Amino acid sequence: METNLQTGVEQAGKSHGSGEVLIRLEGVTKVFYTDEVETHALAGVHLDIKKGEYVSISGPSGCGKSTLLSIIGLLDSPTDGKYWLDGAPVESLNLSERSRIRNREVGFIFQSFNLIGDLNVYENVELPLTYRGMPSAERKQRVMESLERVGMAHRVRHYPSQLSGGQQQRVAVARALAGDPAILLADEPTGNLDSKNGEAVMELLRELHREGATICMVTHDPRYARHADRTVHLFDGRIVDEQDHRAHDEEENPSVS
Amino acid sequence: MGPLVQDLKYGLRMLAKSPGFTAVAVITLALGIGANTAIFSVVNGVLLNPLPYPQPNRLVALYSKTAQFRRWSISYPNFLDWVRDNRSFSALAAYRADNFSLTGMGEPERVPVEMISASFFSILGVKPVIGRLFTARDDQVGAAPVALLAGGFWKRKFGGSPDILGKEITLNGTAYTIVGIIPPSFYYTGSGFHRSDVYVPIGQWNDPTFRDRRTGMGMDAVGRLKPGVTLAQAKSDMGALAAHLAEAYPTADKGTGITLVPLKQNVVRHARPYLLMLMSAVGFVLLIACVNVANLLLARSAGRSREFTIRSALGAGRRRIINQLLTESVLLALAGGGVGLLAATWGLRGALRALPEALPRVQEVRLDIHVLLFTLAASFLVGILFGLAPALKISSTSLQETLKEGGRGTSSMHHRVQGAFVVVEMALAVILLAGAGLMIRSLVDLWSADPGFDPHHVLVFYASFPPIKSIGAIRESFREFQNKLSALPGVEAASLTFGSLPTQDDSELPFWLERQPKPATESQMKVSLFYLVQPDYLKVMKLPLERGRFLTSADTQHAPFVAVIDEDFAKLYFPGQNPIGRQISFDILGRTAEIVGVVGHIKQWGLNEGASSPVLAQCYLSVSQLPDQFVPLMAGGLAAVVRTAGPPVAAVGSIRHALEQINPQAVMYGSETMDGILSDSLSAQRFSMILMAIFAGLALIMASVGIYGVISYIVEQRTHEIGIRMALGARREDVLKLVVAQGLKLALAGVGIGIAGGLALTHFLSSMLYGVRPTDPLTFIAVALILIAVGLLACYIPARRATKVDPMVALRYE
Ligand SMILES: Nc1ncnc2c1ncn2[C@@H]1O[C@H](COP(=O)(O)OP(=O)(O)OP(=O)(O)O)[C@@H](O)[C@H]1O
Ligand SMILES: [Mg+2]
Repeated sequence: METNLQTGVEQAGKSHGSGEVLIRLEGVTKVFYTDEVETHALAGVHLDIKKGEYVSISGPSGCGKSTLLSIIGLLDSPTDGKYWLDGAPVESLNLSERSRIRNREVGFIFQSFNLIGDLNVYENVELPLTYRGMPSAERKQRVMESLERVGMAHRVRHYPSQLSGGQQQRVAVARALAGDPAILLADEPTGNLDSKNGEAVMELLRELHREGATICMVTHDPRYARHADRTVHLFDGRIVDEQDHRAHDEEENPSVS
Repeated sequence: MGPLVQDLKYGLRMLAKSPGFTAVAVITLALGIGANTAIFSVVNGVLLNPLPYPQPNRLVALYSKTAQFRRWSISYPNFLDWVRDNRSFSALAAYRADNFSLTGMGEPERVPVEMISASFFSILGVKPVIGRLFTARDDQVGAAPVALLAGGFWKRKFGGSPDILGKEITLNGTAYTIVGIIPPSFYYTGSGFHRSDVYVPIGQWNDPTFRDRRTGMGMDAVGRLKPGVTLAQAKSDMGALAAHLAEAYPTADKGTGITLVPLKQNVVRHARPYLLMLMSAVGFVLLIACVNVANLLLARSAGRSREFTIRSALGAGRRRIINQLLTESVLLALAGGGVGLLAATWGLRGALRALPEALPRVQEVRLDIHVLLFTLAASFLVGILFGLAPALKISSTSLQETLKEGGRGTSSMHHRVQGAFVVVEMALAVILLAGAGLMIRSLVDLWSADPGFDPHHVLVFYASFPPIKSIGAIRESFREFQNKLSALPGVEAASLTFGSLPTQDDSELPFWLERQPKPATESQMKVSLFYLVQPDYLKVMKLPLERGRFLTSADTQHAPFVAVIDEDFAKLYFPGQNPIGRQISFDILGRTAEIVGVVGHIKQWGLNEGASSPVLAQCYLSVSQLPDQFVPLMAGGLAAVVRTAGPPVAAVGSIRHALEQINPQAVMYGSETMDGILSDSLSAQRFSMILMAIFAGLALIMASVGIYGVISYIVEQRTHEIGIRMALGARREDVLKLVVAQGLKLALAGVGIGIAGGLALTHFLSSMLYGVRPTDPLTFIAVALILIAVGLLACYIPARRATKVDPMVALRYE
């Protein structure tokens, strides 16, 4: 069942200069209710992410970064506000359509890797593809391609517990890539890694971005934030500042477009 | 003792802390241990307990043995020779069940009477409440008629008055002097013995047939071995004695031996296979209960690993931790055993009250010290058994492993052990269900088995006509019986019957065929069941007439002697020939009959009659043609069958009235419907089928609770993984499939193993099955489907819960 992602009538505007808008959030709020306490995790977020853009999100702990990411990744729905993904509104999607979009259009990379312990490297990467009903020959090709992409093709039979943290995160990146998603969402991907492994993973993301991937990453580390095109600062559930690194970058590194 | 007390205290506190877990575990164990206690108390009472007589191991049941029958009635003259010539028994006693008419005490009634040798009660070590037992002087022809009363009868009829001694009681028209009272608690079980109100000396009976060495009239014997004589010695002694008799009386005794069976074995032989089956069944139920509780403990131990890590860190040794865990599980098992004991007492009382006829010696079934010890031992064993797995598991998980985060480690190991347990449970449940299924199918087949006659709307009762009258008058009463009863409104046909009564009593006659010389001895003759009936018997029983004619009212004592045979008789002795017009000679009757008809075969030996049943040939003779000397014997007690238009019980009143009109002193007693008789004949099967079904149901419930518990636990443990899968795009169906598949794998493995085990074990049931083979594919397929369906259902609930996992929440917890 094709969703109205491409054909939706309620097309969102295609602003923001050159690129097409992939993600558009308008006045998105998220309120959690626990024990009669209301937590306003997000309080009216407006955000556009264009195709091929690399956005980083930063802010103090508890300001709503992960919440924002999970709304973008359709793991959670906003309490209020509007969200268009590739021009189509997502509020009207039912559960299985949301699963389908998560599976095809979104690749998640978590701070704690979240590989499945009982599956080996190959099976972990293959997992999202199996949910598409992809034939196994094609799955194999995709899995091997993406494992090669992250330099883990030599460890297919290993289990996560037999890998270092950096290796596990590379496998997680491969898993996010294998489905060829429209956007990669990374929530503090380097949080559990030492600086050397962290660098390697960031380098990997940058390479992917160069090849055209759209990436949205949460990070505390200003060094890594600068890898992105743009950093969005969140405070108390609101975007308080945006910083464009591109002009700056282009000066330092003119070869990148 | 210090550490044990400490362990106990701590164990109790732990159980009190999680009441839900404790309750589930205790109930599960109570069901398992309770079922075992109940069945064990039956096994203990029926099979294990000694008979309630002094030195019971020295008691032996004795029978005549013929070429066809291992346990045949003894003829009284032979018995007297046994008594005189044997060197093995300190005493031998004969006994024979009968019913006498009691008159002179209000309404005439039939009372169950046991005719016994003088030594009967002293052999069994029974002393009279008041008065005396019979003496050898009482036990002979011509002695003054004396009687002993059963304690219950004495209380019922005479208010337990001690003045009863020396008073008279009139039985079959004879006044018997009461000389003693037998304790009310006395009972005895044997084929020729029934629960009696009155005992009379057998040696006074002067009936010519009874005194004929060639005939046994349902008389059996019991003996007490002399001190130092073994059963084997007694057997060879009696064997020699029998050989000697065969020589002395070849016509009667050639080929006749003597069977000796330890009395207890004799009493319980039919119940034995059923009880052993039920005992194994409850053993399986208990194993399932153990596995279930072990699984619960395993699941809980996962949550307690921190506690044990700390304990080890504080220096507790492995032994110490195992002890602690075992203390807890034994406490649980004892609690389960206690509750189980209560449940068993309660359930058993109900079961035995509902089906008192199903088992011999039910009076012996009670909670005695053996049962209590059994329950205690079972509880201990069970506690250690189900406590061991989690105890070893926990104590072997290393400190480091518990502290190690994530990865694939302890949790999936846990799953594997629990999965194995579920497989075992499912397999055991399959075996039990298969057993129960086969029993049910047998019973259904038995129920629908064609007995060879139409049992619906048939009333059976016993009647006696006072024997004081002349032979001619008695014959007249018989004739009147059929006519008067048939004329009653609501009665379609009626017939007196003597000899065999389908599924109730069997009587055989030796015979030889025409044109063959009379065999030299009785044991060389052929044997047929005989039914002495009236012409309307055909209509009452709706027997199919296959050839010739049935008996008619023209077959009187003055007409030629005729017989009607059944198809089996025809097949056996006239294969491929027309039996009509052929002749058979009956030894004891001293007459030769011409065969005038062939009717269908009746299942005399019960609905499960088969080729191995003792005698299949059947013949019908007319009551009117019975030689004069047998008429008084018949008048003393015969059966009647009546076909009614409506419910048979409704006709009892008018039949009784009609009988009184024929002869004011005629007595009618023991009326039952033929349907009831047939269903009673299945009571042992029904009893064990019901219990098997209950146990299989328990097993099924426990196994499904087990699989449910494990899958729920696994779902809980895998919440995080499920969250990841959902984040990666797994739909609800995918998650549902994932969880159900895991359960299905366990269920299928269990069913596979269970079917293999069942096929190996059910052949032990062969002797209890009817119309279905122990490997009946239909039963096994049905059982497999039921278990898989139940397994799926049990997984579906946790699987549904898994689909409700919120990936956000699942991923937040690490
Ligand atoms: N399921 C929930 N129920 C209740 N409150 C929640 C829930 N999820 C998040 N919150 C609250 O919403 C706020 C934002 O949480 P969020 O996880 O988005 O913060 P964050 O910016 O990712 O923080 P960190 O940098 O520490 O990861 C917090 O106050 C948090 O307590
Ligand atoms: Mg966060």
